[in-house]
Amino acid sequence: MRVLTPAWSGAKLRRHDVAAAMMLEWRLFWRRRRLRAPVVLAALPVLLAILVAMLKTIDFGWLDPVLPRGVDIVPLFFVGFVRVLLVVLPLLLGAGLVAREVETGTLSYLLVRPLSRGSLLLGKALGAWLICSILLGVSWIGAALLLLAADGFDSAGATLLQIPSYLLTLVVGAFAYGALFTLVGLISRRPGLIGIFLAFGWESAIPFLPGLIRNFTVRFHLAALAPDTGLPLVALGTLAVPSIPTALLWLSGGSCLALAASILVFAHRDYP
Amino acid sequence: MPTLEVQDVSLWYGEVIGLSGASFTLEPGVTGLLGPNGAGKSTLLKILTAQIRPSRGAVRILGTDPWGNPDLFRRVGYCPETDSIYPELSAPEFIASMLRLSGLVGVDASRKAEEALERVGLEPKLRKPMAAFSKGMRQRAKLAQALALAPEVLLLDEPLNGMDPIGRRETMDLVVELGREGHTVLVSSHILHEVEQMTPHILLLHQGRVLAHGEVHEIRDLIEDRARRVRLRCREPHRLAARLMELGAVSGMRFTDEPDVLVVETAHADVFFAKMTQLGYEGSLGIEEVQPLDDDLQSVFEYLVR
Repeated sequence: MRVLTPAWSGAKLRRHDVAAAMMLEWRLFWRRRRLRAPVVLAALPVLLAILVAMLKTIDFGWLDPVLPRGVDIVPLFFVGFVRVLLVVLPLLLGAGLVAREVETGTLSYLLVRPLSRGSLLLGKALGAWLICSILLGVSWIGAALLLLAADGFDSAGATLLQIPSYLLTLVVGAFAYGALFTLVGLISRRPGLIGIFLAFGWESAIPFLPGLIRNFTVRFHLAALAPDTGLPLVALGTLAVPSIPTALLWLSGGSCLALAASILVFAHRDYP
Repeated sequence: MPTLEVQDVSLWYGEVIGLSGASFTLEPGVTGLLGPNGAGKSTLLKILTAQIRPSRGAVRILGTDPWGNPDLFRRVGYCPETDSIYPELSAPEFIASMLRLSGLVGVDASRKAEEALERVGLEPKLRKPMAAFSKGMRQRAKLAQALALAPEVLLLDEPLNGMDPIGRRETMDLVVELGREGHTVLVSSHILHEVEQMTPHILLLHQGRVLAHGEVHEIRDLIEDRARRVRLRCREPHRLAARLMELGAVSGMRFTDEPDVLVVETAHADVFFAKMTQLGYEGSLGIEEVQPLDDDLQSVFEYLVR
């Protein structure tokens, strides 16, 4: 006799359980061992911004300033930010959400709690998203302020007005990539490899293709949310943008679908 | 009603058998889950805790199938075998975090965590991260998280591994106490004398099969095809040996280095003990002690496994 359970069992969600799992992920992250790699990554743009600011401001005497003052490079910096850090951080946090617990053997403790596997995974994914958003937001604002300061805040007005759009792009992007990489982490034995392919292969090439297929990338839709800074769209990794409502619909729909699939996979998997 | 029921449970990992047709029921009290490494003890406990689904068969704990019924785990505690912890957390943080996942909030979680730590003999306010713990301390912390909700059913996978002798003694006493309090405790071990000190009630697994289930001496009584050894101390062992041969109650005997001790083998224990009672009443042989030598767990285990 095979024990049959309904497809949705283990996927039931309860708000308190999701919140508890989210808090656990949050609490564990801010402990030193898990903190290092993502925080170092998030610090890189700030360090780069410091370097750029130095190149703009320091008078070397024997050398003209490498980067002329008055040229607003914040938008260009954001493009790099979206193409690298916005993808790498969710990959690091999302793909390892369950794999880390399996690897350290701590998943057993979590699976024998009175909360559904669905609540557990969703809570952990939301916790990782919150952490990711904070790291991205702090890193981006820190870098942008340093770059603006290097120019004496000449172009600060316009850029500061665009900060909500920048942050919205990062937070929505982190959610979409996080959901995608959570699923990849659950269904693949080599999530890192597939994640890198998706991040730097699929996401780099497909948005340039015509037709429906580009809708199945995150970057194509993120381009609609990013502030219009006069940079060619190609810099953001696409040739066209959908409308903002369409982009939000695709991103939220795709992310929810990826999370739902992750929950179903996790809820029905054996962990020997 | 049994608190735990396993009906014809089998699990295959591809072509490898993890568990084969296991059936048993447990009631409140301590049961030792015994078997050599690879016997299927951890697999069974993982099935009971819904980490793995059986390929066949059914499991019920407190009348409920654990798979897909997480609420059951308010009443079931589990201590895994692996030496896995969250090294970044202190023991109170670890247990309070697990309790928050179990629905407790704030002060309640912290208070219960401290109570559980106290019960397993760890300092309840210890703030150092568990990475700095000895293996014995980690075992205690693992045990504390299983006990923290005072569950009716406790599934403990090798909880004594890595503990020092004092820790072992204290943990064994705790397990016995939990059984007396009415919890259903299934405690796995491959070390026989440890199990023997915790409970006479055993579940013996070997190569994925349940070889025996019940009280050790009851199981021994059922093993009829193996002679039982009995140590007899008396004033006149040679006369006793002759009388036993006359009565045809033994299949073998030997004298030991101790001058007043005789060890006999009998294939029919009930007949033998009846004759011994009769000889005892005769009085002239001065029988002082009759001690079965292989009613212990080690012997039962060896008979069944080898």
